[in-house]
Amino acid sequence: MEAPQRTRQPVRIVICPNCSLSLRGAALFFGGLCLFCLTLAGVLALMGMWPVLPFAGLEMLLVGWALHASLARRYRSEIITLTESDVSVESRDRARCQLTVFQRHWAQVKLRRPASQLHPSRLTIESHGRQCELGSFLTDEERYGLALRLQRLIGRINESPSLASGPK
Amino acid sequence: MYRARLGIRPGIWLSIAALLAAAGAALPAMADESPRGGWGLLNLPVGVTSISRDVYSIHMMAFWVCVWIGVLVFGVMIWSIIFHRRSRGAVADVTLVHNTKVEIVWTTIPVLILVGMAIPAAHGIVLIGDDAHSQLDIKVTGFQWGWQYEYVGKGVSFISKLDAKSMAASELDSGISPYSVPHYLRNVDHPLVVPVGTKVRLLVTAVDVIHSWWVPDFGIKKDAIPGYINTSWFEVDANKPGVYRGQCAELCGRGHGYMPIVVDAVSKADFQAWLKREAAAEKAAASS
Amino acid sequence: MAETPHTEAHAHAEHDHDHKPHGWRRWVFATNHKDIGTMYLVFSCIMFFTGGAFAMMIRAELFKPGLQIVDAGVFNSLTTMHGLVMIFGAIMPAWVGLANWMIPIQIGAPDMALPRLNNLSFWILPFAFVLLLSSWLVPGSAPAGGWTMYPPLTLQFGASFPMLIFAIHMMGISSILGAINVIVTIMNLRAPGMTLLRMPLFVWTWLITSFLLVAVMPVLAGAVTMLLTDHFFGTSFFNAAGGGDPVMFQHIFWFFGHPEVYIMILPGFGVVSEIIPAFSRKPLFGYEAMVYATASIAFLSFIVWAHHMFTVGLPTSALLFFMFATMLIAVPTGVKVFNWTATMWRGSLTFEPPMLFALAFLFLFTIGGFSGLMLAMVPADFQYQDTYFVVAHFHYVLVSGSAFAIIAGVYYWLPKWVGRMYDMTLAKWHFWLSAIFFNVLFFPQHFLGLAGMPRRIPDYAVQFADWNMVSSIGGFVFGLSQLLFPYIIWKCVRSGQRVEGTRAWDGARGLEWELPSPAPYHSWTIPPTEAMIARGAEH
Repeated sequence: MEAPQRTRQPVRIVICPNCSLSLRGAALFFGGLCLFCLTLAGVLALMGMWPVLPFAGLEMLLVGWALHASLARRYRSEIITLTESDVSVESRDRARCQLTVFQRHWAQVKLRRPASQLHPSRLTIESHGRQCELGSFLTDEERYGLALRLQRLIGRINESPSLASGPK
Repeated sequence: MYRARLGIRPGIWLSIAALLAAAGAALPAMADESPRGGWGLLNLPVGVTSISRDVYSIHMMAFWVCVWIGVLVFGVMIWSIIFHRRSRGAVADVTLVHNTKVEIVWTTIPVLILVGMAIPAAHGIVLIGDDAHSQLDIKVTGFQWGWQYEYVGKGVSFISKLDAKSMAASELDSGISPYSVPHYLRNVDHPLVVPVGTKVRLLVTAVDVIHSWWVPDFGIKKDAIPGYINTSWFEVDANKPGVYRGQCAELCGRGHGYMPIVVDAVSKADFQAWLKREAAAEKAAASS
Repeated sequence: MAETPHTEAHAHAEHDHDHKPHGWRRWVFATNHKDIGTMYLVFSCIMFFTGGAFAMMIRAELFKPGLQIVDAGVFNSLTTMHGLVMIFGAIMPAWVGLANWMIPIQIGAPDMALPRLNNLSFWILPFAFVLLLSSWLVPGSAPAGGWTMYPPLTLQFGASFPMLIFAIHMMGISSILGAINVIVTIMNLRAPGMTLLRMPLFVWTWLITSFLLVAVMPVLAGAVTMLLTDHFFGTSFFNAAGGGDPVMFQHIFWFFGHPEVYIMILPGFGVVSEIIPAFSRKPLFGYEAMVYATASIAFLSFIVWAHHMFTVGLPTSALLFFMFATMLIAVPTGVKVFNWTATMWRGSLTFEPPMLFALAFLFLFTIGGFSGLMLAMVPADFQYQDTYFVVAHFHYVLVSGSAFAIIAGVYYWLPKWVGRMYDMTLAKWHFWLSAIFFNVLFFPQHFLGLAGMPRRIPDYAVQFADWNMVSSIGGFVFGLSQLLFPYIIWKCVRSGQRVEGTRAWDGARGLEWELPSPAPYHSWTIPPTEAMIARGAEH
């Protein structure tokens, strides 16, 4: 059990999505699939049935894109840093890196229940009308665990260090 | 935990009802005097050619193999269902998850059975494919919707279509009972006539769409495909002259159900006489 | 992140609503896998009854000899549309729906890998089927060349022809998108510890199914495109008069078509492999053998296509090859049946509706397998080909295979989805009526086929009348009793008894049963651990 932190040591939490496919695995898989499908379409094309080939080619492009899009998860990460005064969230993906800083005293961790039971929950840190969503790539259970942990670390207003100890 | 509250009572009642219904269906079957009609129509015909008998024996072999495997497999399943149910206090043996020996056995035994089945089947394929040394060639051409038969080199050729009585009765809401029409939908205006005891080769093709020439008693079915000439053959047993019926077996449009095949197998002498008559009639028709 | 529950923490969690769209926007812009899965299943149910209505009309016309209800042309449209709607509208979307619902949960993923693509792949389907079904309204009525669309016959149809082709293209695109999504999800989104050989069999079979889909869908797309250009642009791919080859279409079509058959049945193997162990209270027998058997069936499906066309005049060598390859399929399929039987052996069986449907699958699919083995024997196939024997065979494997497995899956997971239990008594009635009248409907068709009745004929010789009447009566009762299914689900969703705890079935295993039903927003106090995955994957 972590009590609300009162030390000057910053706490860093890094969360990143789970990726069970390695780049090498993806390449092997994609190469194998292309080899199979395009060989097949090629043989049919040689027999005069060329219209299969463009469809197979388009489909392989689509598979390639889908793998690429899903593998982009590898580059996603969210780094939450807690200092005495601030909560900062650094959200990265392949192209961007976005930094959001909240005053720790006012920061609230909210786990929002979805309107429908079938939808995922949303975890946000909010203050002053700004909000930053965290862990959208986690499963509900993991997100709940994260919410618990953040709530304990950041604390509620009366638990966190007071403003007097200084926003920067 | 939801356990079966109702047991299988509705099932038992329904099963009894179904059994009674089946028994009701079987009774008229026993009363049926014709073995090739109504309820008695349960199996392939043995047929009247060497091919059809071969096919029949392969069919029955495959059937009995399936029956015996079925008895074995379903027997084990039913045994489990009856004796390994929780309501009888059965406790699951959770260690029973894998057994290499058993798995090897139930992979190899089916392979052996399949090999045993494949040998006669392969023999049958070779028999059916051997269309050499035919004594009579007939070109069969399917069209929408009927068959044209041409006795190659004999100067006889005619078209064979559904007979007028069936045609009239088969109209939508015709008001004519199909039972009042002899051989409803299985009769033609001009049957194919072949001699018995003669190897007849068919050259099967089509002019418009794909049809399929099929006479169950001969054990052959061959697709009639535009641009292709498929061959097939049959030899009706010398002691089995008669009228044999079949119909088109490949969807060929709205008239697909209305293109029967009737083969009149006659003695060789009768055939020669018929051929002569037919050739003369055609010559007369052509010159007039 | 492993935290223990802390009562105070519950007070922390905000219970206000999210910003997700509500009402119709929720469904139109759905990206959540459960929403999309639900839409797929509802769509499939509507199509099941649409295709079922066509089947009822077919059976009504065949009730007695003579034409009473529809014209011969309309009859052909009915058989064609029944096939297309059931295959592409009912069975395949139902499997994609179940995949959407269950795969992410079973592998511990937050959602499907590509949620927006998922939305697209569903929403193509309604348009495809509006297009296909509206072909009833155009001059010349709906396509009537059979679902197999053999040229030259299928080229004879007028306005409905391009509608059919474009509808097939749309369904194909939808299937491909769905399959790609499933592949990527399974490959990339498995939870740590969920190795390939720990995956539940439903996930395994779906992985293999999506490979098959990706491999053969372009072939179908190419084939129907060639039909289109033959019809409208004067090409001669399949036109004998122009130097084309009508048999080539059959080769290509069945090169797609046979794997397609397994696309419809493999996920069924998966579902049954989950249900039988659950209600036998025993792990699945021979898990790895099951995986390898599924993979071998998938492989064999690529080299047996010509067994659908033994009568087109193949050379003897080809007949022999395709016969042997086809018979070989009986081996892995047999292994599966033996493994399911061994799973029940010395188990502790109970017979709730999912298990009943799984057992019906097991018995009736095996019968379909037997007739399949008989059909593989080329000489005998010359007699069976294109008769009611074939109709009986593929309905035994498709209805009692795919459809019963889908129903079993829904009865198995429904308590998980809605957190309520359905009316078991009604579900048992549904089972017994289905199982008995399925046999009344289709078993006599074996007799009809052997006695010489070809398929796809609107009227028949009088000697076939008796068994056709039996079959029609079976058909009507079977069809009507299916109406119980949506009613049971509707009743369950509205007023079913709430399910306590995480497991609706005491013997159920797998990651999906570690969550309360349905998964509430703070469903787990700890993330899925390896221990849970291992528990789910005890083989």
